[in-house]
Amino acid sequence: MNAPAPLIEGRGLTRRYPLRSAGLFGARIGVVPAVTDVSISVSPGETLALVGESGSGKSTLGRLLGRLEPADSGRLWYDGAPAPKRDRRLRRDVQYVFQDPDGSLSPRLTAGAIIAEPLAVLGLSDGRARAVRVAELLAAVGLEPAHAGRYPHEFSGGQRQRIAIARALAPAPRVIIADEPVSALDVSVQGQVLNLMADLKARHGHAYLLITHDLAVVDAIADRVAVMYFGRLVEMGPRDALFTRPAHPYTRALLDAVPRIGAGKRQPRRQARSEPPSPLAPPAGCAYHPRCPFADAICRREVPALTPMASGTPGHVRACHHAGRWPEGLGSGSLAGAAP
Amino acid sequence: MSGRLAAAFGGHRLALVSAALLVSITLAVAAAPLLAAILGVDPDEVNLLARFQGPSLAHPLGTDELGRDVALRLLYGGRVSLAVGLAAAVLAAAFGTAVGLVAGYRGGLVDAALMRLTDGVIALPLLPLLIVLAAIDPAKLPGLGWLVAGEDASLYRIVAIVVLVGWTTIARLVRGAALSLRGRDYVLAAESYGASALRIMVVHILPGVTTPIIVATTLAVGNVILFESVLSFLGLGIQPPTPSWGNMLTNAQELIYDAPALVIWPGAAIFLTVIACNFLGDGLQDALDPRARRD
Repeated sequence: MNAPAPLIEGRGLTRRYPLRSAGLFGARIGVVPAVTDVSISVSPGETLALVGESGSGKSTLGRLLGRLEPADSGRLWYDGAPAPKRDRRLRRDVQYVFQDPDGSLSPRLTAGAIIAEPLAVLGLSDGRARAVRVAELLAAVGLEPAHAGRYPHEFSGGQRQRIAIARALAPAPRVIIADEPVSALDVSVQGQVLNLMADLKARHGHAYLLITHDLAVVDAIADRVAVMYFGRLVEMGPRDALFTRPAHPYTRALLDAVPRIGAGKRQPRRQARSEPPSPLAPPAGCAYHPRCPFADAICRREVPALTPMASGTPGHVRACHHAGRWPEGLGSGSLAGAAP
Repeated sequence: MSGRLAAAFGGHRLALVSAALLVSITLAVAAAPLLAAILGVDPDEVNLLARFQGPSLAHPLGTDELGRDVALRLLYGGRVSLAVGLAAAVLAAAFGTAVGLVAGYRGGLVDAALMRLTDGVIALPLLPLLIVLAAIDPAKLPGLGWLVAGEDASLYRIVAIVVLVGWTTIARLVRGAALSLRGRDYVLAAESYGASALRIMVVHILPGVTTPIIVATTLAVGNVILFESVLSFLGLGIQPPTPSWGNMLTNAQELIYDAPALVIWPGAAIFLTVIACNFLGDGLQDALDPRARRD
């Protein structure tokens, strides 16, 4: 595979949250693994979608890559070298867009001040030039320069998310990590914001790490897709390959769970069995085995590694013991009998 | 009009009246030297031939046990009491805010240390401590003599005492608010592009805690005035002949049966000012609370 050198890369990232009992001295009663040994990279100019259900660790992984929180182990690489702990270049080149623009914009600052802050902190421009840049950014996200003097509560949700995007765009980053950037917005506005994000990328050439649970969003703008389950990557590959030939039972279940209008009864649902496992008592071996129709002894014993597929598209990897056992890129309906 | 709305309106009206009262008191005491000049009366002038006079044209509120004009002394005393109250409340609020911001935003060990310090200050037995502190002559402290020399020494001392023990309420208040704000996404966002701790505290967290600070400071002004009266009453506060409402009460206590007016006037001034501060604080609380404002 002749891919360009990755822009940001996480190697063996692991993050656990201690769980404390209630009370003053909160004894540690357990550890919740949010992200376990994940290696992932974002290349210049690509849109990588990180998908998975709630609690799969996708947001935590995004926060680790965005340095919003530290990893317990594993390393961040940037531009082909281990990333230093405090690095101005990284702070400039990796920006973050939060899910809920209500919470991600300081309520007592004007839109202009919010967008200008990264410029001020990073020392990128000053005085007159900064005001010009703010006006430029507002225009770039489809707002009026006159909006600079307004406060966040004077904008609609979609406009607020545009302000958050303008702030992320301000230092001209090379990657924007967006954690569910449209899921807090009205459905009618979601498309507009996604189009805006795609347009901005076309113009500025930055990469996106897009964290989402919405496969329609993925289909619309992703180049590559990484699927997470229970804190681990289970499958990763180019969007089309992954969508047409999902190679992990969980990816298949995710794709099958998408409701399709007009699909009628032609597609029998292979819904995942039961609920996800409790993070306090993680299953041994492959975390998906309690829900997997193909699980057998080895799945209960060993954690599968991410491996390329025998006859797959380059860059398409999955973590399943039964890589050869169940046919890759199985057609619709052929597993109908396997699910309970 | 629903009961709640009426109550809110009533509360606001009370706050408005209180604000008006405080402004008038402030203007009146600010104009004290002017009035003294116009009336040609010196508030410190002793006239033993004219003691305990009743109200007259020359002395609207009469004279005290040394024949001094009560009305003017009340105004001059108000200057001291209000200045001390305001200065001490604002300085204590500033110090408490700084401590609270650092504790709440930094968290961890810093928070634990600062909050135990706060608990410690709260647990100090106030009155004995004040008596000891008030006995210190700051003019004799090395390096501080130049700062507090002269008649105003007792004034600075009382402000310093109040600040030293009075910052804890606001520190706790601000710390709690900062603790809840530091996990907000906008704080994380600022951290992600490298904003300094100071910048985050001042630009992102402080604006979110101004409402409780303003309210608490307003309430504190009243408390400090009360406090100053207590200290002055005990002879530990503002030293005569500089008048303050507190030490006017002290002087009058032996005369409570002979000349009750000398107790009533400073007492009423303290009472009105403190209660106006409290009403204003409550009114500000309602007016500035964004939840109350939105509906």
